[in-house]
Amino acid sequence: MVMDKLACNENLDNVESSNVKDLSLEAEKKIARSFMGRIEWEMILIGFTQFFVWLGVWGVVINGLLPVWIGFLILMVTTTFAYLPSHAGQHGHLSGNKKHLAWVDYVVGQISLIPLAQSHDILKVTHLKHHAHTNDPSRDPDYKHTHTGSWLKSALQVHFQTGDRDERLNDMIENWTNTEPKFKEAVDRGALVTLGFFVIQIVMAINFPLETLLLWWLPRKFTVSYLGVIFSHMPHRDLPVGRHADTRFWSNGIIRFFNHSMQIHAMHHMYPKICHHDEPKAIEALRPYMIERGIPGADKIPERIINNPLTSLKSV
Amino acid sequence: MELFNSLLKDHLSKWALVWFGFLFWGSIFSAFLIMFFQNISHSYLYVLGYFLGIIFGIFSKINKWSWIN
Repeated sequence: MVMDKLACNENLDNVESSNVKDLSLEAEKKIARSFMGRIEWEMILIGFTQFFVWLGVWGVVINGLLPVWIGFLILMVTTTFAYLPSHAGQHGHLSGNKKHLAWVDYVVGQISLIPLAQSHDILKVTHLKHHAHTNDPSRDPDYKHTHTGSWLKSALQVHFQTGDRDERLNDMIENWTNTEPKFKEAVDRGALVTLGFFVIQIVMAINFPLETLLLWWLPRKFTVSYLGVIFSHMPHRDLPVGRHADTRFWSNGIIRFFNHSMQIHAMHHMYPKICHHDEPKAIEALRPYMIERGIPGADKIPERIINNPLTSLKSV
Repeated sequence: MELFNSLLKDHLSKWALVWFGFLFWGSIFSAFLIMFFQNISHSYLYVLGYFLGIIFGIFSKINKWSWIN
């Protein structure tokens, strides 16, 4: 690790002096490795914070201390933070990819997903398939809601990802379940969690109908649409299969933070082991390599990535 | 236990949307009806709400509207 850091500093000096002499894959990997391996505590904090806000809002609304519509507005915002901690857990960022801490990935990931009523296990196995087969119509689970004609279609289509409406996705899952025992195990475990959410939501609706609609069902549906558009459609739509071609840098003119930094999602697809919060620095270091590999939009990314809207990417 | 799990899984794979429509959406429809028609007996409104819920659930099953849950 120390050697990697030293190598990285050497390479960064080259990058800063504008002419990177060695643009080989080995040199690129050496730099990328220097950004991997830490525990992403920021995501653990975000996961627990948004969950406790969700729980707290439920508590104060049920006890009559807060009008339900204010609770609804608060949770419409905070629920959008529920997915990324699970996503970090899916890639082992919460444990720093240390085997003895793997339980942290699951526990934090699953707790964070409670406002979305989703199973961490199922999202993990399908998301890893998305990484392995990005933009492949027959093997990418996210394909159908990603490659739509508009963001609105994507926002609606993503809700049909579950259930039996999307036959193409069902065929994929059936195939992987029949051929990959680990995939099947994860789906079986996840099915129990999904059943639990199914029952709990019904019990909550019987006891607190309007609160369940406004504090749970609507915020999570809004979030799923948001995820479909910002996490899938914008970075991947109309792009081909290929490690350096399947994801773009993009901008919608809004400050990066409000898009959960999905404008720089190309970095995540290039090196999924790099933590979300380290991606801006990694991009600055790997920028010449990204331009060299022809990643869509890489030539337009600024040299320093701060909390700006990255509007120069808009034309990509 | 395994037989029970298998029967439950099989049942829910076919009827989950109907159950969800009946119980989840039925509760919500009932709550709205009670909110808007305060002069009518709550018992009637509950029956109507859950009836609308099961209809919504059956309609969702036919149309494969998985988004309702």
